[in-house]
Amino acid sequence: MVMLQKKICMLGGFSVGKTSLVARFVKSVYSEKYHSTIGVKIDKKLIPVGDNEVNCILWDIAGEDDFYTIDNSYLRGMSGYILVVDGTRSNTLDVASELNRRVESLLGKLPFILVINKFDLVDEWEVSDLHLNKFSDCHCTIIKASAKTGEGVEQAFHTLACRIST
Amino acid sequence: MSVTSSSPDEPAKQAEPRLNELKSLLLSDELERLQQLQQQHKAFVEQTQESLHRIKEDSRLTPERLAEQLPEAVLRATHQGEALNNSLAPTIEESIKISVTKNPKGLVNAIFPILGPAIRKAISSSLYDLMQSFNHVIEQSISWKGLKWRLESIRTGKPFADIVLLHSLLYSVEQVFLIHKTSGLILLHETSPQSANQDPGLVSGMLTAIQDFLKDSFATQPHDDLESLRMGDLTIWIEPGPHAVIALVIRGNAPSSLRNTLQETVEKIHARHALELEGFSGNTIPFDVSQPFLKQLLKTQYQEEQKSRPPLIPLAIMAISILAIAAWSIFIYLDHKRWDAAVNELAAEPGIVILSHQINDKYSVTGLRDPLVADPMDILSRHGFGATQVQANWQAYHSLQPEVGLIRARQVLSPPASVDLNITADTILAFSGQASSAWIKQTQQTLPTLLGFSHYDFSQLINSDAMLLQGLLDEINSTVFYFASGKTKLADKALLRLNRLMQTIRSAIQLSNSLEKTFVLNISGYADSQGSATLNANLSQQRARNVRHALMDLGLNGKHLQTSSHILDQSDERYESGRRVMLKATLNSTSTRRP
Repeated sequence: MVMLQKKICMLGGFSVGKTSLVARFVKSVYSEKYHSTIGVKIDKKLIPVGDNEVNCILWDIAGEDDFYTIDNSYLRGMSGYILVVDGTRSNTLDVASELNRRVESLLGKLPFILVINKFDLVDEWEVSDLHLNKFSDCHCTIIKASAKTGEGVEQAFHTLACRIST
Repeated sequence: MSVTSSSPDEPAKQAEPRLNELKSLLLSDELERLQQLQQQHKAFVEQTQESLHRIKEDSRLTPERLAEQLPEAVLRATHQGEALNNSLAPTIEESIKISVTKNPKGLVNAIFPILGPAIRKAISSSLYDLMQSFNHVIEQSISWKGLKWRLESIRTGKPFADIVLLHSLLYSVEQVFLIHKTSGLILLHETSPQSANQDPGLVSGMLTAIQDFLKDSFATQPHDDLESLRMGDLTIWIEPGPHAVIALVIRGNAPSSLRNTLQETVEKIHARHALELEGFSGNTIPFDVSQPFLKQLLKTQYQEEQKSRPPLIPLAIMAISILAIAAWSIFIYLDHKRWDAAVNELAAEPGIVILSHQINDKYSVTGLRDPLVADPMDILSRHGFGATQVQANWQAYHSLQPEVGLIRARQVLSPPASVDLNITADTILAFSGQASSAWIKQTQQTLPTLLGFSHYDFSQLINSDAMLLQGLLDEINSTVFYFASGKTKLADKALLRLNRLMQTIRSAIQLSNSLEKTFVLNISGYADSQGSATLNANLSQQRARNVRHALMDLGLNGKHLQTSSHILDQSDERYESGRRVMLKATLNSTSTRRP
């Protein structure tokens, strides 16, 4: 059994739920309390892929907003990333799109999963499938997930792990 | 062979068909043979041409051929002289210049493994000089630590710089991380058994993130790297290489030599895993072979020397201080004790009363002193107190203590050597020995002036005059004068004897007077019983009278003389020498004679 180590970054706008997704995935917990991540927070999780395991080092990077731009040095050496969008705020999709463009220009095309978070609030979503079309040519996987309920979370990380380990 | 070679042209043109037929009939075998030979010849020519071509080709210097020959050619050229080196030098220099201008990183990566050792070698020599100057600085420092190290250097005979180094070598490397530089992924991790560990993957990620954060937050040069983090006694040393970083978690104060080891390890790992590092894609297994490198970094240097050896100098100073304090205390205690003993002895001394005493700048004592007793300073000096050390204030007084009374009695009475004065029953002054009656008389008159005695005891005092008188009396009484039969006159010899005795009698009379006694000398005349009783009575009487007269002639007053006469009968034991005069001196009490 070969164990690979991979760096995965959590990218996305401000308050889209990156930390919550990591907490749900790594510790299976969810807290309503909001903590703004400063700089970067690192977690890890072993994800089985086929017969092997991928040791994912998750870099939960502070969300971008108008005042803060993610430092490129945090992105170096990553094997893939999870681009998180808050379904209830359509502007986070634009942030994600911009981030994706920047990552591609910096590191080239890397596997990534587009996670539309807060699926538990799907009734309040501003992001429609139509909006997501702008990612259609990226060959990425789009997963609707909820850090609160845990829906889609495992799937998102697992899919990415599969893609980066092949 | 000659036919076949010359025939083919002419006959063929003239009678071709027939000739051919004929030839085929006659020479079929030869023709076939010729054909074979022609083919063989052609093949041979082709082969030869090919060989020639190949030889020609081979002799040409193709790049492939050159590549094959070059190493050997260079080797030979090197052996032959410096021509090749000289001709290559400008090209190589130019190539390096171009390489550096185009892509400095490649060259940096290439020479990285040798760059470190070269720099270190240069630095170590300058560090040695620095250490020497550091030595000078410490030499002049008067800090406790500096002095302590200096003393240790003297004690152990080691150079001072070594001692300084020894004291900074107290550390423990608890964890070693080999981290992939760009991704922050952990490649290898080594930990000491006793250290508590966070997940190395997270730690390496965080360390990389911190580095990124610092680079992002502060304006740093692109090649600047975070080298150390410090919190309390925990230090993290980070040694970056081109592709990988080693981080040490150190508890305590690690010496700079560890940094050198760390650099060497980074270089070794880069040299060993250049390809794996460059193309790292998450597989850490190839790096496992370098685990021993990391293990070597897990060093622990204990302060063994310090542990095994107690801090002698502070202990010694403490001990000396304690001893000094103890010695001082003992000295003070003994001094007080000595003073108290001296004062107690003074107080016990008769005729001295201590009112107060103390020790300040000087030893001071106040009291009463009978002038008759010894000087108190004698007692104090016997205890080691000099006259300059002591401030004494004595008031004179008359002591009634018998001891002082005795001194006073001796001073006042000035007894002769034959007289002893003593105190009995605390308050009785006892006289013993011999003294003249004159002294005794005078003493008895003086006694009321003496103080401090209840009684006076003369029972043991012998009057020497009485003894002397007795001796004189005995001498007188032993004197006998003998007479021839019928004679009463003293012989000349007897007169001389009487003359000598006269001196004794005078002394006896004088002593009797001083003892207030009356000296009486009884002169007894004796006669034997031969002849008539009357004659014998006359004889004895005359004999006594003659002695009396002789004494009176010598100046003796008749009042001291009495005579008596005796006749001895034959039964008397003194009969044989009965014709004689015997003297008997007696003392009569004067008082009896007084009214």
